[in-house]
Amino acid sequence: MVQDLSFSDLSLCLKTEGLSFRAGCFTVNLHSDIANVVSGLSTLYSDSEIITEPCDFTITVEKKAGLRQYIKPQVQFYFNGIEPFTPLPYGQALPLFEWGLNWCVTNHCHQYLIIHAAVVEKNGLALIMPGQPGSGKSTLCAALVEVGGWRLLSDELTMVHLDGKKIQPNPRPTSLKNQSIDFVKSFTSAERFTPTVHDTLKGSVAHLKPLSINVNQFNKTAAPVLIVYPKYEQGVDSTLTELSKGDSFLRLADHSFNYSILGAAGFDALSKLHDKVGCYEFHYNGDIVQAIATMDSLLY
Amino acid sequence: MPIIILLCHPQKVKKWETHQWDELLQQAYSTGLVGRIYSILSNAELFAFVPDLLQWHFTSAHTVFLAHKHDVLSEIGYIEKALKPAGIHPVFLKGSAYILAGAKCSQGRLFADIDIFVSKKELPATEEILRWSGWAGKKMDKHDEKYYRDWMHEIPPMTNTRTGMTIDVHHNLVPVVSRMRLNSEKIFSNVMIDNKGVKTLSAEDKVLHSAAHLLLDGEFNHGFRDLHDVYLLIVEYTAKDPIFLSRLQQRSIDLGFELIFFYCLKLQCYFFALSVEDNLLVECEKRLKSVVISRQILKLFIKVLSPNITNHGSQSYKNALFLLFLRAHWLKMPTHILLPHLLYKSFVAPFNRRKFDTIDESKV
Repeated sequence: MVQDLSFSDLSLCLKTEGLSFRAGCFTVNLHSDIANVVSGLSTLYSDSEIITEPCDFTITVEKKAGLRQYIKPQVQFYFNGIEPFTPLPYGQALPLFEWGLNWCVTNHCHQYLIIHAAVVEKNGLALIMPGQPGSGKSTLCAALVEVGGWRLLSDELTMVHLDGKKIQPNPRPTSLKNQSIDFVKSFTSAERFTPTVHDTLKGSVAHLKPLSINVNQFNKTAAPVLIVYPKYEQGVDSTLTELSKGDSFLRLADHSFNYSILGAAGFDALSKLHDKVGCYEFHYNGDIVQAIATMDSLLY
Repeated sequence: MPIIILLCHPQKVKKWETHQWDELLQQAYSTGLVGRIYSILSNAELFAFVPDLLQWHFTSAHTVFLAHKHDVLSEIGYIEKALKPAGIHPVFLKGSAYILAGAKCSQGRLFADIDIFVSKKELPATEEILRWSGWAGKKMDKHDEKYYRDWMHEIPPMTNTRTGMTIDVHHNLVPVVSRMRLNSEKIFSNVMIDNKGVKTLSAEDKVLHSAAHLLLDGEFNHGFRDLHDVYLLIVEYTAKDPIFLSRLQQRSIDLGFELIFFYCLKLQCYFFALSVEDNLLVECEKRLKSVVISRQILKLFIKVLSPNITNHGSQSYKNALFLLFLRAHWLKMPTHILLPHLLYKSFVAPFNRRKFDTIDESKV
């Protein structure tokens, strides 16, 4: 496991041959000589397995060369030598790695239908929570996992097997933004957080390490039974409204990264997924105890 | 290198160990050839030799290719439908042409935009009709507009507002002010028309155009892939016509593309061990102005086109890239246009871009 390496060994490994480790259900070989990346990895991936086999994604995160590095240094993400993004300020190296890895998954893994949604599991049954940024899906997801006893499958990318019957877990760090960082810290231990990085494209960002028991069950799929569209609104009464399957189908296609690439296979996967799920819209006011009770009640 | 072994002798993968597959996958991603490798392996019934853990990378790339091909074919349909009533039948170039011709090098290949070629006379009508039919040009500053309109071989790119796909409309195959002049009539008189009436370049011109694009462009992000396109085209046409290479040489002389033909052949021999008769190469060298300089430039091409990305950080790689960038610009424009252009691009454009960005943002 990554935690068996001392900090200096980890740092040396990242600098030289690269560290090969499991990130969710994928494997990554990462090269980096940036201190924030080393410490971020030791916080977020300490429970991850070290890999000796070929890795899925070969990634380098390093300082961008050129004169600019002496005035305003920048960090660049490389996937096998390809630069998919414009460089970011140097301090954003760790979020860049996490976002870059999401890009690797959404751009290359078309063996699944990938939906922009959080997904959690209880008793083998999966609850999918799609949402635009700001809908509170990551916060709700963190509450269900940290307090409600649900298992984290993914906080950002729901990967549906093309038969529509199984969700592939991809348990990676949860990305929290702005006010939700302190809110989630109020019910989890602060040591599992990376330091907050300010002024990114998405505002302030911090990552929360997944529970080790969730990390280890990366290959235990779950059967989708619920799709709940959360919407966080301050001061309202929490309400749950049933949604038609047709409505949900269209919305989910819209939230999907590779629906158009998959063509007929994507349509089939979404149809089969909708055969067996209940669909709801959930307005909630941040009362997590009530939110957990509501989600639990939907299971029984 | 694993990727070269696979592209030249796919049967050898039967004896590969895991680390070779690992290297192959990395090189396939960096060169953009994951989808093509899937096609090569599955056509040769070798896909089962890929380690289980890595197979999904190749099948996924194939999925993307199928979707891309579908999109490209419908886009070609839209373009044809828009231009046909005006009696304009464009010649499709590069990626879209390979798909239309069912060429082997179209399998698993992705490309960003559709390139069409019309005569200079048809150009104004083509542009106007495309605008009426839902294509829109990107806003650009006066210099960039002039760059395209007066000096280049294509007009500013347009985007189909319904599909998001970009089209480049060409009226020549090389920049009109470049040191390598090309009479576009010679190209038109030689085009291929398929049974649906869709036009692409003749076999020889497809190869020469692809090679010219690669060797004159000065950018090598997809260089190795483009080089392999040329290889597949040559192999495919030689299988149909054993003297294809000498035809190609003759055509290169007709068009004044001898230099391109020389680099192209040499690079094919170097990277993919293409078998070429010795006298053909000797003949080629005889036509060069300076064998010494051409051999030096060849070395630079070999450096920047290599699929080995571990040397991309090296100074010699960067130098080669820079020299070829200069060479490309030198060929592209005469000095009295080139110098002001480079000065503008280095000092004025960065500020203008900022101005343009803020204008665009305020609109949003």
